[in-house]
Amino acid sequence: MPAVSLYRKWRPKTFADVLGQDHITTTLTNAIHQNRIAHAYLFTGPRGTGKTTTARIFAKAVSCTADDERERPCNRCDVCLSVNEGRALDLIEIDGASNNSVDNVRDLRERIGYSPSQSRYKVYIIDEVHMLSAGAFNALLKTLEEPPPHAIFILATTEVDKLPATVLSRCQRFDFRFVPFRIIREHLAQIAKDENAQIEAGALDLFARQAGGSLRDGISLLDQMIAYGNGQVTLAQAQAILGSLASQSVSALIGFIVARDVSGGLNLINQAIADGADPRQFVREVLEYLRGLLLLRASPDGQWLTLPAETIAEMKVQSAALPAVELLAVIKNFTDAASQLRNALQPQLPLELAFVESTLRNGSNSATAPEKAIAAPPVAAKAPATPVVEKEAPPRPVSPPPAAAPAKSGATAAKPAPPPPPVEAPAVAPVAVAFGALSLEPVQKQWKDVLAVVKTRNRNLEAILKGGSPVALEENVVVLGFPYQFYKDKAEEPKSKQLLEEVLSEVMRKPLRVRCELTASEPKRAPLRPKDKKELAMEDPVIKEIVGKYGARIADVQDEAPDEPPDS
Amino acid sequence: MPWNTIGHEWAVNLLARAAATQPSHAYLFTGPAQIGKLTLALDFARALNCVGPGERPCGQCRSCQAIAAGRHPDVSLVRRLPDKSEIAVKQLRDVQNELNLRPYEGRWRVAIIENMHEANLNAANAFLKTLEEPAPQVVLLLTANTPEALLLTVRSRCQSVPMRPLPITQVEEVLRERFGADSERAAMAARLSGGRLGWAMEAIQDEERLAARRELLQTLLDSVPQGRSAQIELAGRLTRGDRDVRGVLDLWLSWWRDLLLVKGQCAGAIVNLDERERLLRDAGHLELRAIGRYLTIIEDARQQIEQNVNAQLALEVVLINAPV
Repeated sequence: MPAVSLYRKWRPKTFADVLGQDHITTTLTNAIHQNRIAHAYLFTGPRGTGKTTTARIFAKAVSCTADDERERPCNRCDVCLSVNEGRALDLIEIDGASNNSVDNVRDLRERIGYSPSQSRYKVYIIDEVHMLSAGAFNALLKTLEEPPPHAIFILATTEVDKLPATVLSRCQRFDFRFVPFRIIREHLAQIAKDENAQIEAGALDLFARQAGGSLRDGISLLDQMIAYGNGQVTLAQAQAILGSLASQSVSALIGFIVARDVSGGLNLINQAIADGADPRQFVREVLEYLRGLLLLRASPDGQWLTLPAETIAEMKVQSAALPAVELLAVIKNFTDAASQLRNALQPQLPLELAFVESTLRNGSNSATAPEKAIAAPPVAAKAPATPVVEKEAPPRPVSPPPAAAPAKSGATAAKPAPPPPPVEAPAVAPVAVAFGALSLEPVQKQWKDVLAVVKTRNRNLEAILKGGSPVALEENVVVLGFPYQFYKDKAEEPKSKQLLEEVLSEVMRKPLRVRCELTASEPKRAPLRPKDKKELAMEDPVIKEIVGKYGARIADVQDEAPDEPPDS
Repeated sequence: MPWNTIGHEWAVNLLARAAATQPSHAYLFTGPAQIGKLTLALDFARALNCVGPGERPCGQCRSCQAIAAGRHPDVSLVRRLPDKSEIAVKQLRDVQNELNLRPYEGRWRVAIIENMHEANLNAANAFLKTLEEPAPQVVLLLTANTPEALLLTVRSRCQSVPMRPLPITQVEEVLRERFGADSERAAMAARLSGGRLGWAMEAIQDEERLAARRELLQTLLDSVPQGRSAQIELAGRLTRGDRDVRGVLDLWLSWWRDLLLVKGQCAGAIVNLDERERLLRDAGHLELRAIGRYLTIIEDARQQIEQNVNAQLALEVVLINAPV
């Protein structure tokens, strides 16, 4: 006789025991107190958050015979006991995934007319209701709208968007939420205590995090670990089995990203994998940590974080050293890695690539340019930026130094950079720390980066901007020259202009505005005749080879949109 | 040597305890190909039915030997037939019928389904009821490359035993001690295996495999400086007939990953140990970013080939883009 798994043993029996779903249990309890019971409910939400459990408790409560309505379900009367023991005749639990055909629904319709045998109500719980076929849903509609007075439907599903609108509109809908970390953690500790298992606090933290908001997942994990450890579970054991990392590895890896230390990070990753860490788990934990950094920016007291205090202290330091834009880029790299891991041959490769990419953040195409530009600005370098930057610049070529650096020197710093600005700051109001006067040259050099960022937000705008280029800088206004009226008009549309100004300010780390002008004519060479173009094309070695070896013929030569700043 | 499985101590402990007390009704072993999933499943089947005294499996008793030889009446192994592309519904139905009978001579009736992800949707669904509530005295053992390849409903019915690659040093040690491989070849095969002991053991016994690999790598490397027409020609040659392009790309990927590691000063983890000199030399004039970009290109091509794009075209794109 196999042992009953812990999550079944610990299934809640009263509304008060359902954890983390107060918004639902309160409503349902009140409905029972006031005897306002609807005929159809829809419970939706992620796995393991209490849908089926709540449905069963509600089924008990509506039929409970306790005198005081406040006490229902009492878990003492016959009705409650029969449900708890799984022998209630009037609680009909249907697995929608297996009974998903029209015939099953017809069968249900035939039986629903009969009165309940022992309770006040007949309760139909249809679990996994999203698996019903379209025909079955339609066959159910009439019954769901006006069932006999003694019948109550509770539909439960994880995928509410698969239900037809006609079903949704006939039910009272309750959305179950992920159970908060703290509640899961406390509950697991309670179960462990009652099961006489010795579990290290760190291991409990790990299980609760691993549960990802699903109480059932957390308890299953605890169950497996108690069985494995024979009642004793240490953090090291738990980490070994989950393929999880020693806690400081993740923060060390982020440290390497902040410091742009490629070698340190690659060695760390390979060591961790050699020690038995699971690459997926690794990426998951890195992402969770990065998310923590993001949250810390929003609320520096770290109230949303589920990590130990010393880790949070470390995170605060790192979060100050990693500007929001860069943090987002790093998060994106690792999110991509997570999706590539699924079918990668060498599982740690996406991880390594994401890491390397992150250390190179802000593009090498921009990495050298600004440094040079700042170190030797052709125009007024009255700001003290130059010495500070040179001193602080790491040996590797990097993008502009963190905004904090020039601020410390105190010359132009109007606003202190740390504590970090709120998350949305870079998008709406760029960090207003000036390097001093900016010249045109860095803008031209980084124009490509600006375009690249624009492209991620609005592809059309990028295509339009390719038709122009920065031609002058007046105070804080970048003048864009366009050869054609059409491009200029498009770029001047308020939305486009605003987006461009935002991006430009972000990339140049300086609030900039944009003005568009019509340049006299195409700044490049005069148009060639088609024949000349072909001759010119033949000079290209690749084309020559293709024509020579593969017998190709040049049919036509077309201009590409100028994507480089004019070399004039 | 009671358990044939090497490494994976935690899994062995878990299963040994389960076999001694109360096993769950279904286990799912996941991990990359040739990591030892089937070996572990067979070990567990022996442990469940071993009749020897002392530690189980003993490897000596009639039951252990019969299972090892594949002729135990209570242990069945289901796998895709060689001429089919998937596990057929009929195969699973047959084993389901067997599972309804009481064990013939052992304590447990064990069914091992190798590579459950090769079962088609119908077969997997038809197996769900058995997987949820098999007859008493039945233990089902499933193996799959990744849990994601299986239906959620299949996954949630099994206790999962995720097997991760072994540490390279451990593989190396096994190759040296059990197969008497010299340390250079052992190191090479261990690294190439990526911690998959089964692969490493095959490779060390197959002289030609490593040699062919080296030759292919040389060809690929030679094509880089020769320019586009040579690269296109090579792509054509490598995709002619039914040659496995994936193998080529995997090899190429491992080379460039090594370059990345060398460039990132993490040379301790490189795979192509025998070409260390060349790696150091090549990494010298390449940029870290370029290597990273190129790895993404190769990775993309690999995924595209999974999605059935023209293999020759994909390989051409990869080769032409090689940074010089």
